Amino acid sequence: MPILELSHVYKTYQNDRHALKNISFAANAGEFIFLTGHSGAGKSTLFKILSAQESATSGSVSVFDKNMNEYDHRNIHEYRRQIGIIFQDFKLIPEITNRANLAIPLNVLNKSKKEIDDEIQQITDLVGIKSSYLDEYPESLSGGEQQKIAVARAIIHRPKIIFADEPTGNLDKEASINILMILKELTKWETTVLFATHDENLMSKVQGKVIHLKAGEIESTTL
Amino acid sequence: MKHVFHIVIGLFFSLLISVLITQNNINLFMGDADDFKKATIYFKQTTLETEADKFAAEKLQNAEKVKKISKETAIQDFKNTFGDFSKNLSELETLTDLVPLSYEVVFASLDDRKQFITAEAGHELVDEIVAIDQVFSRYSSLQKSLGAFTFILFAVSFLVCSLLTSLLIKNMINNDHRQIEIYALFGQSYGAIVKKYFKNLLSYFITTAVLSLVVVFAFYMIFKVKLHATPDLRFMSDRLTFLTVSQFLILLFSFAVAYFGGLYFVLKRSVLKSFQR
Repeated sequence: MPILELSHVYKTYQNDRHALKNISFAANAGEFIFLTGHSGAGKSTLFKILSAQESATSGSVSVFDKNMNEYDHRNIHEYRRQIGIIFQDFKLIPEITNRANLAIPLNVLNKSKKEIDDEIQQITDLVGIKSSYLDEYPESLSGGEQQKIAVARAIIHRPKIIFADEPTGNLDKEASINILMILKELTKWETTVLFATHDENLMSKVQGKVIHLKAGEIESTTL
Repeated sequence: MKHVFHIVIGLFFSLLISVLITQNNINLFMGDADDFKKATIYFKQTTLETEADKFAAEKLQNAEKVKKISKETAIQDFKNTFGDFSKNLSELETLTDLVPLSYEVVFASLDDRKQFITAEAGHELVDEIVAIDQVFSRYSSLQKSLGAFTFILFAVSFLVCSLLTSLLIKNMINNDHRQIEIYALFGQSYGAIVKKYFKNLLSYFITTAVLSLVVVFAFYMIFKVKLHATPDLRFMSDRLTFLTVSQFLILLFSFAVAYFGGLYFVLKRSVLKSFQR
């Protein structure tokens, strides 16, 4: 039974630009999927639909056996608490410390301070964030370090699915492989990972399904 | 922005409290409204008490209150008021001739009183009918103006309060827009975000209302103490009243409606953007 299923999904913007055309695929629990394609191929639009930032113009998107159309502003948080998102532009809040940024997914789950501190300690060790960075603000860190914070924040609450939109774009080769390995490791605990990238070297490092997008359509799927 | 909000809302709140206090105490300074529906009928020295009683029984049937002040009562009042001076006069036995028999009448309305004076001022038994027409009309228009002013002030305060709340929330949400969006993407519920702003704004509201009340009360107490320190005005100080509990509650409730009404609509519209797809 797939954890995520898209069937004939179209996304058309107001200017009649077709960002996605007839996208259909499914992902099982614990599966690692690369989404590839050039800029403008539709990867980010697909992530926006899957992370419930936008809705599909037509077709159906089902996650956790529930159609996305069944969510509205009153219950969308139930879905978002089960997913983790790594944004291309990090989306860290500049006014709060890195520690507070990392705590966001746990705060919304009403975790205690001790639980939050413990989880932050574990995740910083796992992702390789220096503990001295935690009480600094995002802007004082390099792009690569900010990206690590964004990755750590996306996985700190142990989501069932991770949508990673170019999560290694600002990292050097070694750090990129490290992040990739961490995400791959999570699949052992049944976490499904959708990883958008156009770095072919990176794709060769781990096994996974590769969905190649071109001009909003699936051009090929490789197992 | 938050400070400007506090100051302006606080000013309107204080102004409204002050106007209500003024209205509560206007009678103290201008006299009781009933005083101006009153007239005193002084009968001629030649008028017999029985004639006066008959006149009163016939002509004052519709009056709200009729109080006969016999010559004896009037003399006693005079003595009480003027002490030694009155004793000398009474020894000369001139007082009875000086003090007339009178009737104090409270009419049902000002019109009744006017009609009575017009009709009976020239009556053969009546020497003079005394009333305070001009003061009353001035007082009446002042009270009406104060009522209208209170209403306008209330309406303006209501609108300003709603508008300012809306602007404040809009400004707060614009500043926090990125945070709201990120929290929403990580599963913060719509209700939790709205609740957070409600809680913040509730604390602003309580602070502003309490501060306004304290400031106005402080001014009120200073005024009261100053009145008390002036011997001739001490009686006013004793009778001076602050807001009644019901007035304060109505005021608070109306402001709360304006405040949280503005908050609700802006909040609903602004935060919802982060949850719509």
